[in-house]
Amino acid sequence: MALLRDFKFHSPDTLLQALALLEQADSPVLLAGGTFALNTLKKSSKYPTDVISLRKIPELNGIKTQDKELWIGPMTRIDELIGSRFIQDSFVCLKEAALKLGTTPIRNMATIGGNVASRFYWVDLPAVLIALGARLEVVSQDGGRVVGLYDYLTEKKLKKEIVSGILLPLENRGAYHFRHTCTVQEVDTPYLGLTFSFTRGKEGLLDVRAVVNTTLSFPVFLKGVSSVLQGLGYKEISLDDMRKAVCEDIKNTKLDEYRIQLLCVDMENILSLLNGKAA
Amino acid sequence: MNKNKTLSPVGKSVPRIDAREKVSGEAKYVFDMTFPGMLVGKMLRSPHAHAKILKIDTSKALKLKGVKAVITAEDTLKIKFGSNEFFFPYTVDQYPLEFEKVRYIGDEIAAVAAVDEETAKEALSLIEVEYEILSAVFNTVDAMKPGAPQIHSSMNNIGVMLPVSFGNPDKALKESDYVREDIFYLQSAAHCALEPHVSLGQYEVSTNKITLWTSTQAPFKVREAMAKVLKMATADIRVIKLNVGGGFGGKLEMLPMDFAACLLSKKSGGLPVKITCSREEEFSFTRRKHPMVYKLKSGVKKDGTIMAITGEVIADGGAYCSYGPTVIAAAIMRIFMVYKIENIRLMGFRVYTNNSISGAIRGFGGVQSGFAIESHMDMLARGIGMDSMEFRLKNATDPNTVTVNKLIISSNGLKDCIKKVGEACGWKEKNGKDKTDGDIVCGIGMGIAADVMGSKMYKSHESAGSIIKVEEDGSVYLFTGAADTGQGSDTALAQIAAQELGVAYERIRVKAADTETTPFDTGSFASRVTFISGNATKNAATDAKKQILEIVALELKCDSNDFDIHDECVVKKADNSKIMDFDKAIQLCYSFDYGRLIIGRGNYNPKTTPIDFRTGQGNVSGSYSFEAQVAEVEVNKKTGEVRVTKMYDVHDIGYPVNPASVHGQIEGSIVMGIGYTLYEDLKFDQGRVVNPSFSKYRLPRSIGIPKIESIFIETNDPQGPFGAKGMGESSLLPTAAAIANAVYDAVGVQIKDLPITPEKVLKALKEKEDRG
Amino acid sequence: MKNITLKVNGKICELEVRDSELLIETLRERLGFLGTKYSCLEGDCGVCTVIVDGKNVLSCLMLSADCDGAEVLTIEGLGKDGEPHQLQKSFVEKGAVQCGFCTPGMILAAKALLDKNPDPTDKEIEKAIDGNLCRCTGYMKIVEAIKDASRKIKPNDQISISKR
Repeated sequence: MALLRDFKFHSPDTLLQALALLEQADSPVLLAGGTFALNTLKKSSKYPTDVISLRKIPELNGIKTQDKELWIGPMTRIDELIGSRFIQDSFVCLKEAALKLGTTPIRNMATIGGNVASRFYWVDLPAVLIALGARLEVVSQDGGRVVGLYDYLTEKKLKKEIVSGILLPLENRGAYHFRHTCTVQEVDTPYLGLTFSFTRGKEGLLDVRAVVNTTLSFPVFLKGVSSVLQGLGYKEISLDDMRKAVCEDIKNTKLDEYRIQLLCVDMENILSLLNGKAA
Repeated sequence: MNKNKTLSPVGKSVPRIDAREKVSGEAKYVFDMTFPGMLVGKMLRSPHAHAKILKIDTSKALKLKGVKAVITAEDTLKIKFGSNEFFFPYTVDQYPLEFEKVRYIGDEIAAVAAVDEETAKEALSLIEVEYEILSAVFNTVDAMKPGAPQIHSSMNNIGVMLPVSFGNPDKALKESDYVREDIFYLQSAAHCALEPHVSLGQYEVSTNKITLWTSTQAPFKVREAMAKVLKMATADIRVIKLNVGGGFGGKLEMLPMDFAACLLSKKSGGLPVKITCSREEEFSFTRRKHPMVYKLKSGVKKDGTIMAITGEVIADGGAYCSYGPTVIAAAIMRIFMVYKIENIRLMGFRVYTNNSISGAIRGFGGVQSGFAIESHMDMLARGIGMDSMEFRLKNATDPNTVTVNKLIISSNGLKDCIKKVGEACGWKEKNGKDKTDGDIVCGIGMGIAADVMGSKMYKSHESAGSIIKVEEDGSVYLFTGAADTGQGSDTALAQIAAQELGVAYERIRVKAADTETTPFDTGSFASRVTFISGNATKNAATDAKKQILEIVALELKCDSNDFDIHDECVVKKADNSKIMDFDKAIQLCYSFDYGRLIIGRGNYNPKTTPIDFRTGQGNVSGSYSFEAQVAEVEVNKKTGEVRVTKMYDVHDIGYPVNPASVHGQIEGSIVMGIGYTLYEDLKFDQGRVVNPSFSKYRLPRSIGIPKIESIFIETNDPQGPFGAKGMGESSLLPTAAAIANAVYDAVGVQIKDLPITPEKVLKALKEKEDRG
Repeated sequence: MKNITLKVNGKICELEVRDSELLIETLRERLGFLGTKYSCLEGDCGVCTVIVDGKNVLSCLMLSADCDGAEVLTIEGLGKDGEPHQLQKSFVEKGAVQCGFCTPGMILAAKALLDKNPDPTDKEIEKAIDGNLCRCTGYMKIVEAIKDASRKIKPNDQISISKR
């Protein structure tokens, strides 16, 4: 039946080989878990000449701590991420978001690297990772660089690069993730997702990050919310402040009235969770 | 053969006859079929919503290497087909391949057959079509305006107009204590059978015969349409159904692809041609649910008596009529089965637009009318301060009655259903009580419904036939034209055959739905198979049994009336004493008088009367089934999210031939209903379906499905085989209203516009707050 | 073309596949395992589910060439010596089968669950089959059947496919 048109398939054993292939091919596509890439291929008019699988490259696998960071190999599958002790212990919010990503077979196939590198904004993970301060290791034949995930997603995509690691700072950071779907079903694309993270100072919240993801655009930083809450004691934050801050931020987003309401509800819930903590 | 012996299988949840092959992966669908030399067929569809076809040039496509045939209307006899020809000849409006005009995005104008998918696709792109674009209409309001683009020749694009009219509703409205008017909006939806439409056609050159394997609910209907458009004898067209991966009304008629597969095979010298719909084609170009606007104005007395119901229904029919008349009739006539009404005037309009074709889908307009009427009834009850369950009990139809439109209702457990569902859910304790937990508010709501089993709306008859063939060793074949599409009808028919013949269920082999080898049957629709094909099968088994007993009686020189067959034995009726084994009796038959073969035949045509479509009078079905449903919901006041937490369904199914199957139908219907109520929505933009995939058109998944408690009321219908009634669709009918009414019970807003999205709930709550 | 080795239903298969060939195509067309269906080809419906190296995955979203060396289980490989697997029995007995088109994928998703979690709760079962659409049953009887199978499977029957 030939469901896909022809291309050349490669399965390099090392990152260097992969980079070389990437350089040589006319129109290459990198294949991680395949759930985005192959799906896109079926509909794409711009068809690749070469598909380069990253499956056999050992350097892209594993989860480990290094310095004060957690290193996650981009070929880590979502189900492996969920099962990882490191994630369960230090990044509960990431685990929860990963559990709601796609469906069971998708979680068994999709990788965290594919999830961020595909720049497919319907998924929750990039927003969660941004709120947790994730940085990416990216390599090309010219060498490597480390870039913040938010910057990576919003910069112009460089063709000949491979994401070779995801770095998460190991700090004492609190985080909440809220998610509303288009159909009230858990298994659905996010109508609105909100990840809220912060570190705790003596007096109150420090380094607050609120990141929103929707089916409309790349993750959006809620800068107003972050600045309103910065340094405030738990009990000093009023609902009105929050609402005002949310409304300020909304000017930078494409959120409709209903999504704004959901955002306000989530912020309200966060507030009561924070207050509960303070009490 | 299975070692188990299930004697007297009717009423038992025996495993489905096809379950073993389905769990093993061996079950064959047309989807799986291949033949040596088989070609891939593809349809060329219009990219325009409305356009004149000026010229079609297929020469380039024909020259492409690997292309074996290209067909356009010029290769056809240009004969129109339609699904309601007998009573509504003017709705026969579609050519297998269009040549004058295209009327929706997807309209079929040509087809190709090639050696592989890739070549077939390329060939499509090489067919050159010149169009003259015409202005198009995409909603019923615009379509009915004077001067609107004319899609067919009907005035104001109204393709079907049907009334029901009895009594004096205007006078009765004046005499009412409370009158209210509501408008309900119902969206379109897709069937989403997991097996797509597949047609595999093969033409036999030497005999000029056609064989079509197709994923269908109604092989005999497909054959009839094929015979018409090809001007062939039905005996020269063999339509075969294998396992079908779901139908839900979407596989009830011949589609142009069925026709094209056969004609392409003829054109390519008899090579088999297979056409498989992609998921996108399934969503965009097959059939869909009629979107409707349902207006109601009704009056009641203070004591709850319904005085009058008036209103109109306007349905977006899309480009062609399909099953339009029946859907409209069902949308305005189902109410008579449910409520005692003397004064009524409803008008149903089905309007042509340049959207895709609206057709049959589980519930046949009843889902739409069920939502409108059952929501409206709740609001009427509320208006007079009456409990909606009491209101329904007061107005529900009774057993052994003839309704104002001459429906003959014999067994009727509707009131028992209402009472029982009320008890099961704790209606008295829960309804109208405040149940708030933070932002979450619980609510409970009811809906009731009734359904036909078969429908006197397609033909002069509703006959079905069965043949029982008993082999020398006592093996039993049942030949039936009925089409099991997964609902389990083959199993139910085997149970009925075994029960009547007095043998174990495991003896029966079902050979079904092959127009050449099985008796006629109109197909799987209108919840008719258990009732109509079931009766035919029972009659065939009775006939076979009679033949056996006559020979046994001759041999023993007794009266055959003194004997019966039970538990695989011929017994004496008087004392149930065993005369001989079934196998022994069959051996006797085969050797008696140098051989008597046992072939039982059965036929059944329900006692119905044709409908007078000027008033809505006539007994459409041989019997009627009834039910009451309750939904429990949780509404989040802050986000507007509605979750269905529990469903109760009490159903008068007559008698359950296979209780597990019946529960399965009810559960499946309810979950489908929940999807339609809360999120399923086939959306269009300028005639193009904008969400033609499972990622954009969301179906209910396994998470968060509420517990469903389903209870039977057994009324043992005198017409039904072993008292059974049909019930494949009715559980879908009251679900939407039950949920909407539960939302009202929770938060005090009645959503009249499906689907009930969180946004709509929130907006309604805000409006309610603003009103104070 | 690529030469690959797959272990399918316990048998080693040396195959030459097209570079762009999907696993579903190899299974259905080269090996004749028609029990694995496809419906959406976008990873949404789950009827193409097979078990690869112990996990339920979607064969419409995998390149055969990328599966070189993998161990694949299709519905045809379930059960032993003509005796159906307990999941298959439970699906039959509990009325979890209607049209049957989702059934093979559904059973394999359940198998992958029971292999790692022999005693799942209803919620865990629901989650495990969240990638498998069924339009007929409303899922209740499917969950019931999986629960029933989990109760009836003896611990030593649980030989999960070894990891790659």
